[in-house]
Amino acid sequence: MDETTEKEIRRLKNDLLKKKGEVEDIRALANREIDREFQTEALDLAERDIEPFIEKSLSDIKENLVLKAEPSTLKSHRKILGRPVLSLKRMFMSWIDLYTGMILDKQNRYNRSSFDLLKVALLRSRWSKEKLKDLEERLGECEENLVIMINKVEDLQARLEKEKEPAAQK
Amino acid sequence: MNPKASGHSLKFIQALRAGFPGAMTEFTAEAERISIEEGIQSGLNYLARAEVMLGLRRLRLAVYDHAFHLIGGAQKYGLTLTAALQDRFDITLIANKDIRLEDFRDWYDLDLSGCAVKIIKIPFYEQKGAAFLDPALVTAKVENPFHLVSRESGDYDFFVNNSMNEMVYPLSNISVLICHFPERLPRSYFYADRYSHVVYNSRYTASWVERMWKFKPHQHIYPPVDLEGGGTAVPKKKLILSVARFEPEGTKRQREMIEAFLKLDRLYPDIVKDWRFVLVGGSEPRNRYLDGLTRLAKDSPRKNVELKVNIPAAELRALYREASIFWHLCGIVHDHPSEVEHFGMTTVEAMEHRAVPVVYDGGGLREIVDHGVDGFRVRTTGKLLEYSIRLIRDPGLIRKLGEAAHAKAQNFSRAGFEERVRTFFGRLLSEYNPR
Repeated sequence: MDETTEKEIRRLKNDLLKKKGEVEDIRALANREIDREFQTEALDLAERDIEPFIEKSLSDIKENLVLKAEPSTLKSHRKILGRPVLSLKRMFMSWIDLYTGMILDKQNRYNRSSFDLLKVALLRSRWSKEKLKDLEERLGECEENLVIMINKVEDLQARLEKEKEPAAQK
Repeated sequence: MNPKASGHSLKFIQALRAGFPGAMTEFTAEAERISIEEGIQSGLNYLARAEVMLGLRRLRLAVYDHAFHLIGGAQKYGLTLTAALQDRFDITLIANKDIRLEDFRDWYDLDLSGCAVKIIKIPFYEQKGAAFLDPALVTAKVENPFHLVSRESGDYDFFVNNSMNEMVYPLSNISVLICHFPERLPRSYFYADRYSHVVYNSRYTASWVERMWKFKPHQHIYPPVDLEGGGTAVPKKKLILSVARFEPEGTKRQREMIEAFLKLDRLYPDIVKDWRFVLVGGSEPRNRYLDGLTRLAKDSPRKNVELKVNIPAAELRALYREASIFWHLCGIVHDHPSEVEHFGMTTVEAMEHRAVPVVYDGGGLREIVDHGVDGFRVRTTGKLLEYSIRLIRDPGLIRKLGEAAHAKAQNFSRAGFEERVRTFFGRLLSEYNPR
């Protein structure tokens, strides 16, 4: 390779390295957006991640448990006509609120019941988990004992048969 | 990052290599176009590739691991890979804590004297005074502290990330992520899928990459296992061996194994008369879990449970040679797939020395032990006792399965690993620098 090529590549490189030194952001270097949003897919969670996920979800639900009609701020850009228009609007809205309030109350009662049911179901699942763990441990212990006992019995049987043999020969 | 420059761009480098008239002008124009349209790093990568293809310098490769300063199987993997590639690349080891190449000779018997070392301290962790850089501490609320390493990656032709840390964004032409296990679900600063190649250490790991990260990793290379000294069979002793790090969280399940052995000893002492259970492993100076195990061993009525912590390699080899049975239950209780053995290097080491493995039936251990052929796989401590008693009562079975285990272990040798690494990187090289 001739010297000119080498020199030219070095020149181009030094030029870019200088520019790289001036750029701090990795995104600018890569010339693309590199970070993305990831939503946790509940079905991908491992056992270890489930409890923190439940805690977070419950607190999110609790925060949004009660639905309230948002009080709207009514304004008008008309100086003279604005006031009567706003009064009419307010009257209409308070009449509407009577109906929406009824629906929202029903929804709130439903939300509260669902939330309580969710909490109780969670409680039951936690107790069941504890019980299952306890049962597993006891089952494991039984299995260990059984293995040992079977071997012990087999040994005793073999010994008994050995003792019987000389007696039979006599 | 731009792993394969387009054929069009490569054409200019090839023309330069062939010495065509006017090639230099076209090459310069192309380099400038790339740096303007695709970014400064792409421009640099194009020039880097030209340098290599024109034979102006040797290939540069960096191997990064944020835990190089600690002894571990993953680090042994990355450093053995480095050793295998030393003759083909100028290699730089990138770490975040101080490291000494001499330590790698002592810890893993690897001569890496030809490598350079670059330490990039991460202020986020330095301020915390943390000995271990836990990537899980980084959330979207803080700037990605590993971008210091991302930036450095752009200075090499090949960048290998051997960390269990998917937060380093690769900027090199060729980037390889060694996935020892996908520890976290994708979240902020997740770049594992931005690497041009992802290598996995076992099929178990690959299956979890697919489930958690939603893509198929590319290349399977089993970890390297040092197979020496197991060549000829020596008389075995009445010894059950376990070799695993004494993790403070107890994930290697030494407690469960000791309890099972002590139960056997208590309920049926005749059967384990003259047998010992020895547990070997590394540990940090303060370790409550290990303290608990020490008490358990001390209280054993016949003192036939021994713990050996941080022992020299020669002593461990002697124990492997003497052991008849090898126990490994990592994973028998777990609430995350990362708590199951991803591969099981010590199991292979024991098998090479003809110790019959009785191991947990899950994770990478399934890929090592064939049930009833070269050992046994169990899902409960009851089954562990059942198969162990069977072996204790039948020395002929120990010999038979021990021989099969020895033969199986040869599949995972360091030489085999090096061969697979060279083949894989050879393929990447021929794509990078086509003749």
